[in-house]
Amino acid sequence: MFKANRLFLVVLACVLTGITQAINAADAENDWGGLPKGAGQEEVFYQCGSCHSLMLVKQQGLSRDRWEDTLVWMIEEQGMSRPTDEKWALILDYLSSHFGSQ
Amino acid sequence: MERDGQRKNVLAVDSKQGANDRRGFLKGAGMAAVAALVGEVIPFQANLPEGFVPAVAAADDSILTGKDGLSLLNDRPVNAETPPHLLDDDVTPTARHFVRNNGIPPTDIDLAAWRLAVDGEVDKPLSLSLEDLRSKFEVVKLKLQLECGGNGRAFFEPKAKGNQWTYGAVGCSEWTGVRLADVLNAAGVKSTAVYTGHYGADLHLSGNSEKEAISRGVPIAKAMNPYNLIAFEQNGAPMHPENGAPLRLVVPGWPGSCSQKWLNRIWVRDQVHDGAKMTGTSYRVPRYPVAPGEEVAKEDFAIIESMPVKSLITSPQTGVKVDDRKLLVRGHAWAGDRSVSRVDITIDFGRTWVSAELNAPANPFAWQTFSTQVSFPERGYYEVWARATDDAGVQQPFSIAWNPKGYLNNMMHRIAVYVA
Repeated sequence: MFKANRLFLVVLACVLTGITQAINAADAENDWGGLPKGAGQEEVFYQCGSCHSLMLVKQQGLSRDRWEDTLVWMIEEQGMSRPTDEKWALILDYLSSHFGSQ
Repeated sequence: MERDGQRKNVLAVDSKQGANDRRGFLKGAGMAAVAALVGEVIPFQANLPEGFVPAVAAADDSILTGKDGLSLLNDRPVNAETPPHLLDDDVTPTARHFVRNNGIPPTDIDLAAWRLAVDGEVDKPLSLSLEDLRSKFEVVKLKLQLECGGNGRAFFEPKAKGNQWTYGAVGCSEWTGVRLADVLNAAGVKSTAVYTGHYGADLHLSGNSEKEAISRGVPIAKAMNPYNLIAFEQNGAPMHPENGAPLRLVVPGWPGSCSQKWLNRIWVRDQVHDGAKMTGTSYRVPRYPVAPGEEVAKEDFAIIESMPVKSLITSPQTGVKVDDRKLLVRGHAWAGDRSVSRVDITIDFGRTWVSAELNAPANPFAWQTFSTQVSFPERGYYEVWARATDDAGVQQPFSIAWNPKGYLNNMMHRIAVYVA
């Protein structure tokens, strides 16, 4: 009986842990790596976050020109895929308005 | 006590590497290790398969396992710095040594299979195992300061891109290894040799194995300095995995990026090395002073060599409230390829200065500890500033010599003190 109870508790713990983890995963996806809401959020999340942490993006405070240089450097030196022109503008607008120079 | 802590740390970090393994198994670790990770007996331990990683050790926050009190700037790649007051030790504990990664560190390291290649402009190319290094060369222990070229970038205005390091991308651990010069001499450096090119086992962040995460080098004259180590231990114990285990270069006094981690090849070049982050504007500053925000042509940039004179107040912590009018101030100073000849302290915003007691370095390229007692005339808000002077008479400046990429910020460190 004791053994059965303990097994039940362990199974229950596993199920609960599984549920908690599933919720955490959903939160992580909806959180967009902590990027502020706005047009371009999703594009930046995937374009930048596929190689490096968004913590790096969120530390920056760069002018639009510097952000453009950074994207060019990412393509030329770091192997980033080139976004479409439309996406390029969206990403650049987002980065320079949310992580721009004052 | 420290040894025990470090052993535990290394074990725990192994678990992180295991967690990166999709199968979630801990290679080569016994069941006792699994129980040690959990910190509790495991009633159903018999049910666990060999190499199982317990969930408690597989959590994401284990990214800085084995590090104590570091601020995480970036989690992919891992970049973390140490707050100044946690750098008070004369010899930086492994747990408090900063981490600056450019790529994805190697996991599943097979120590017996690890090889260091030395090739290029040499008479006799070498392929050395870890055991070869220990047995064929003199093993030395040195306390060596390493600082990231971008330490202090956070204070640039306009901002410079990259990790926004504040003060703590610096440390001075004791490293055990063999002299880089001895290994180069064993290979026989040809007269055509100009520069070294360093390679490590970390992967480019994109996961593309054709791309290097980082591969920098130094001129042969610097490489031959007897205080550069090919190191395999940190503070008398296995190196922290994020600090480059099982093998790294320690090229003190120059930007930390010259000290390749997870070292597996030294290519002796007949030209200035052109590996990843050697070219363009990486680890380079303009050849002349520029105004903040000024555009600088690429050809006007020069490779950073020695780091500049600098100091850090490590005790007390900034913002401290004291009742006593007397306060002991302590910290460390270093000066790249040079040594520090004096450290001065002011408590009145630079009007008057007192000279601090300054220790000689434990060995060349170790940082030097300074201390002095300051006296506050009355209650109120004070700042303690420290200013180091190197053996060529060069002092730390009041403000940043701005440069586009945010390197070499050696402005004076200051802390706030409230006297009751």
